[in-house]
Amino acid sequence: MQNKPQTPTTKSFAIDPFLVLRKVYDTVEQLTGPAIEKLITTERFARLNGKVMEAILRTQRATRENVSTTLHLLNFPAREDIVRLGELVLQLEEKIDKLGDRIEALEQRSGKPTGG
Amino acid sequence: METEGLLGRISSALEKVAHYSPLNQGLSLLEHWLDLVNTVQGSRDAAVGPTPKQVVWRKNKARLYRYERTTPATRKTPVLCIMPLINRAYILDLRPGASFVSYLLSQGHEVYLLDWGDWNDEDRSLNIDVLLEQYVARAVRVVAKQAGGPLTLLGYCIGGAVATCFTALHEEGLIKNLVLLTTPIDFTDAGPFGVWTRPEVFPLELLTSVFPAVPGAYPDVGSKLLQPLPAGAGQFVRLEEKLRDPRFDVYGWQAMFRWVNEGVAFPSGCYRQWIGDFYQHNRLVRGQLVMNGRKVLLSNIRCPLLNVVATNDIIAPRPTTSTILGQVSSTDKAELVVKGGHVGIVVGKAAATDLWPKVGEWLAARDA
Repeated sequence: MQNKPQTPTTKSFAIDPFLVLRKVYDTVEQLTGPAIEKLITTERFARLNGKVMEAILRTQRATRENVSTTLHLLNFPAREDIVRLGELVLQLEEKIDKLGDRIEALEQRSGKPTGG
Repeated sequence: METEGLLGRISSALEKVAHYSPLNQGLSLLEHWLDLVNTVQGSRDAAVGPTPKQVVWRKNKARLYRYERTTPATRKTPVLCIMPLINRAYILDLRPGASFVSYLLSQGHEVYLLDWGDWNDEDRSLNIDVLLEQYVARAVRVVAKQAGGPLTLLGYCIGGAVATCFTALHEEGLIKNLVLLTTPIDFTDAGPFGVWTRPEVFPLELLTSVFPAVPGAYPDVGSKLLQPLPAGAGQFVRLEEKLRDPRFDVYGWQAMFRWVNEGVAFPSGCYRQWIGDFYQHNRLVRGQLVMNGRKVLLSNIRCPLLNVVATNDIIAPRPTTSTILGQVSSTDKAELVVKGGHVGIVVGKAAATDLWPKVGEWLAARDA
């Protein structure tokens, strides 16, 4: 049962559970790999995958809504409120960027930098 | 005297135990197991993105980086890399010896990279239209201004689709060359992802309404489902095997493992458009994609195009990546078929000897 090293410096063990695990894995992969590859491209798998996702998502939505309601009852801002604040900041940033674009266009038209 | 004798006997017994072969074996196995655990857990801190860079433009979470050169650029045309929306940008500059960015610098180019950053819930209204108009257009202008001329747009995966749409919509001459790396364009036969995302089975509306930014874990689980065993338990079984070899590049494995497992959230607006318009309705190839009020026509692309496809790409299979050559109006166009997978061709062992020099050569010939 001595595991012979692949190279003189390769690590080896007299009793090697990792080697056993590797052999089990390789066998399972060899046996199931092609079948799994076929299975995942079937309509049935896609439908099942969709249903699993739907179940997870509906649970997550219920959890989010419950947390949000609880926070609002306690007069705390919920995630949604902070997100809306973040969106306003982003809109403001875009307005500043648009002003920057206009200044740049004016600079190009006049041929000289207007500052900044 | 008696105590000394007893201590001597204990010491001698302990010495025997210490040299007891099964115990040593057990300790060696435990050490090997701990090496495995530490390699996996240590990947969170793996050093990535070694090439020095500067931020030259920023918006929201996005950053436009310019990589530092130690010598003046010898090429006229800078390269702007547009990265995928669901992965970290450091894949093109993973580590020393596995950095496409570093290779392009060595070829005399100025290299820029548009890193989308970490999207969050407040970015939910961002769609690809907005990315093109507010991010890519500005980044292109910044690079063109700094370089004093047109540039090469290099897009990777979804970033390639974004670069393609941008080039199709902007014919004002800022884009000199377009290079696409494993970029899905035609979704007629999109492999397992195409089957899973069909409108009848995929809860797209629910997903994007629950998550303002779709967590990186969702697309990641999808990628892992493509090869559940090798991408699951298999990677650790192989790692254990490799760890026995003292020549094994542990840091390289850790950097790659970190990248694979460090997905970024996808703004729900972009996600809805990517799955709906691209995967489900294939609007780009059908000439039905409208962005910012304009039709995105691939036939509007007239610049030189290099389309890099991978032979074993399960993320973007060949039918999705090869179509573009027949759709564009470019007279100077080529397909480069590279042996390997979606990511392997860019940073794998063969990248430095196969992909990079070929892309470098193509760019050099179009630098004048």
